[in-house]
Amino acid sequence: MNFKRIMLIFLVIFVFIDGFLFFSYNRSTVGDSSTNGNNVLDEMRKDQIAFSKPSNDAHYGYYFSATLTNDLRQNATNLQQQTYHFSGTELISQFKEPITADNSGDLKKAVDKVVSNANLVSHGSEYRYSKQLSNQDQLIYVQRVAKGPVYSKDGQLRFTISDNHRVIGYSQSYLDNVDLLREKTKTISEERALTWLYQYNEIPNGTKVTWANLAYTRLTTARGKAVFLPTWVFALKPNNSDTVVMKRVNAYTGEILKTGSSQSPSSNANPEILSMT
Amino acid sequence: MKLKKLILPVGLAVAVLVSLGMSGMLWTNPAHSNLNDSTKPGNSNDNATNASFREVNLPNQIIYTDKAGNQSLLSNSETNLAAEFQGLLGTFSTRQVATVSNHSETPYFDQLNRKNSVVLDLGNVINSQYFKSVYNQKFRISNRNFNRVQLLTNDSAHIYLLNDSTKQVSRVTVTGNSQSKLNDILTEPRVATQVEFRNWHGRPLVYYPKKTTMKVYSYQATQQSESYYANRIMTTNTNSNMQVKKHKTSTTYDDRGFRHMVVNRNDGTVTFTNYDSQTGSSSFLTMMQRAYSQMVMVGIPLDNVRLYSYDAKQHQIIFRTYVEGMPVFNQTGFGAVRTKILGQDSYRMNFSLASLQVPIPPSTQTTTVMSTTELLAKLAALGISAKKIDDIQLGYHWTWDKTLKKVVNLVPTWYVSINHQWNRYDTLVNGQ
Repeated sequence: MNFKRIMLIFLVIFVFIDGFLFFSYNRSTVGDSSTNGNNVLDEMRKDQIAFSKPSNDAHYGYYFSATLTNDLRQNATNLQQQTYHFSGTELISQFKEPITADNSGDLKKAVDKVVSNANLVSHGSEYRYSKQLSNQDQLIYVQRVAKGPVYSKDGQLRFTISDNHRVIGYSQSYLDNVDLLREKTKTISEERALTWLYQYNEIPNGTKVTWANLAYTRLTTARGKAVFLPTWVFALKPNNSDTVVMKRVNAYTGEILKTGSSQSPSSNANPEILSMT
Repeated sequence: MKLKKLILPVGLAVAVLVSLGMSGMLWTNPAHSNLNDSTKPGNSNDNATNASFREVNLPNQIIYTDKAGNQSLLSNSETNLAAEFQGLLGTFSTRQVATVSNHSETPYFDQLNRKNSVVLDLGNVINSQYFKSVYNQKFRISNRNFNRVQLLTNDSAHIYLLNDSTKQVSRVTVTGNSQSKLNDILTEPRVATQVEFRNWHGRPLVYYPKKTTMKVYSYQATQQSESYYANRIMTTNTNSNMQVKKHKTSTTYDDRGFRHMVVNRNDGTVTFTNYDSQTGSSSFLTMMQRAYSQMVMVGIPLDNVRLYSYDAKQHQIIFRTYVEGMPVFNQTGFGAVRTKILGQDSYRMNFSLASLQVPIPPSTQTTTVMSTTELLAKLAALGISAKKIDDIQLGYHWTWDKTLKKVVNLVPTWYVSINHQWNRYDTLVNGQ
């Protein structure tokens, strides 16, 4: 082997090394340029977390206070075609004629009509159907306050679907005396809320984020009134399970909001949002 | 032939040098160390939701004069009016400027009382450069100092810049100023309180001719721990050991270098002195930006905090908590944050451990505040004549709730400045 040949082999090897170094240098600078955001989403995908692309838009919301009152009880005397009783401030009613699906076979449409009829459901126009919270056993309508949906067991219309695909009755809770506590304020984006939830280790590997929504949830109770604030609510479904766990993130500060007793704090928001009956 | 012989050795030499250089760059690049790290990206960005420099510089008072000449102070009900006006001030481009009047009171007050106008109080006298940075990137008017901006509801081609101390009125010809946007903001739901601009010892005073009803606020407050700030700002000098001395009512932290911190447990305030920072600057804007970034560095929550005043003689910047566009007094003896520039590269910052966090329902929704006329009459009865009073303003009084833990009540009340010292009306009554 002559000297020329050795040089040639070395040249080829070094060109390869250069190529490799250039590639890894590029990768490391790309990773450095955005510590938050997209590369966190990449990390999440690597952890087998499935989600649809979160939006980066800012939204606006309010802090407000509200109470449960006797308003439903006072209005109940005007309700027609049903028998009702109360459990605390919650109205539980049974229709004299069960609601059946309309001609197109759509039960939800038939229930929509009932909700919009003030003789059948009081304050019905303030509630909106929630696809996210409903399932095959229940149609859930959530109350809208301050230009947004309220995800709370205290502001809901729940229609239970019977085995023969009919609705026999409903329960209703109603948030009254709404006072805005602060002017309209910008919230963080869905992307930011999702990445923070992940960074605080609230999303286990192999989880599917089935939906995300900006909704008002209860933060605290003060002076006998519940205080609500805008939150990003995420529904997480672990790989080998059918139960959906809801987690919520304070949409102003990005803080993970825990629900439950102080002995066993967890950030499972389900009991706060859905009544566990 | 000779050249051809050289290609191989030169090429090899270049390839070796490139690989050496690239390895060096990779090793010194801090990002590289995380490349194969399986840990999740850290959440180092805990200040990401803190208020921006723009947000701590929102305009204070918004006074609208209708076509009949009636004046009202506009405040929030559902929307953040100050933020909307700040956005509106960023939309136009400037063409030219003309001085309408200077050093003359009558035309100055005529301009303030001009019909079909909105006067925004910027809180402090700021220069063109500052306005450009905080409000409008397209602002090309140089060498103007002003503390108010006036927009007209019937003329979108001009805006006015006003200076309370020099009485200078400047008319700026603008393009791209949207009449409809201004009218949109004015038709939004808001609280309008009847007021008047009055000449008070040569300066404009916002005068309330009638008693008014104002909202009362309650907030859950956060009391930040001493260790939070000690860890954040006192452990940067890794070569030295931090010296901690506990006293009866205070704790002193010293990093034996450039930083010194005293936490006063009696009133919940922190005094932080930093002898190694670029804060002083001949440019007002740079100095303010540096003061702002020091607050962010320290980790003070700036959610409801705004620039209140700058004292050029004392080199002192005061930030206060604001509700409804009105300053909060009595949070501490000095506001929310007070920064005193000590020199080119040192400053002393006083700040409160407490900050407002979550608004909660107040025990009473509203309270009635007496008119300025009644206030002046009562002060006169106490022997405080109008001559002694340099300024009057409405503000919110901060008190801790007696029954609920960590709850602050904010009640609107009159503040009277005598010898450049703000006094709450109640203390003047009880003190005499």
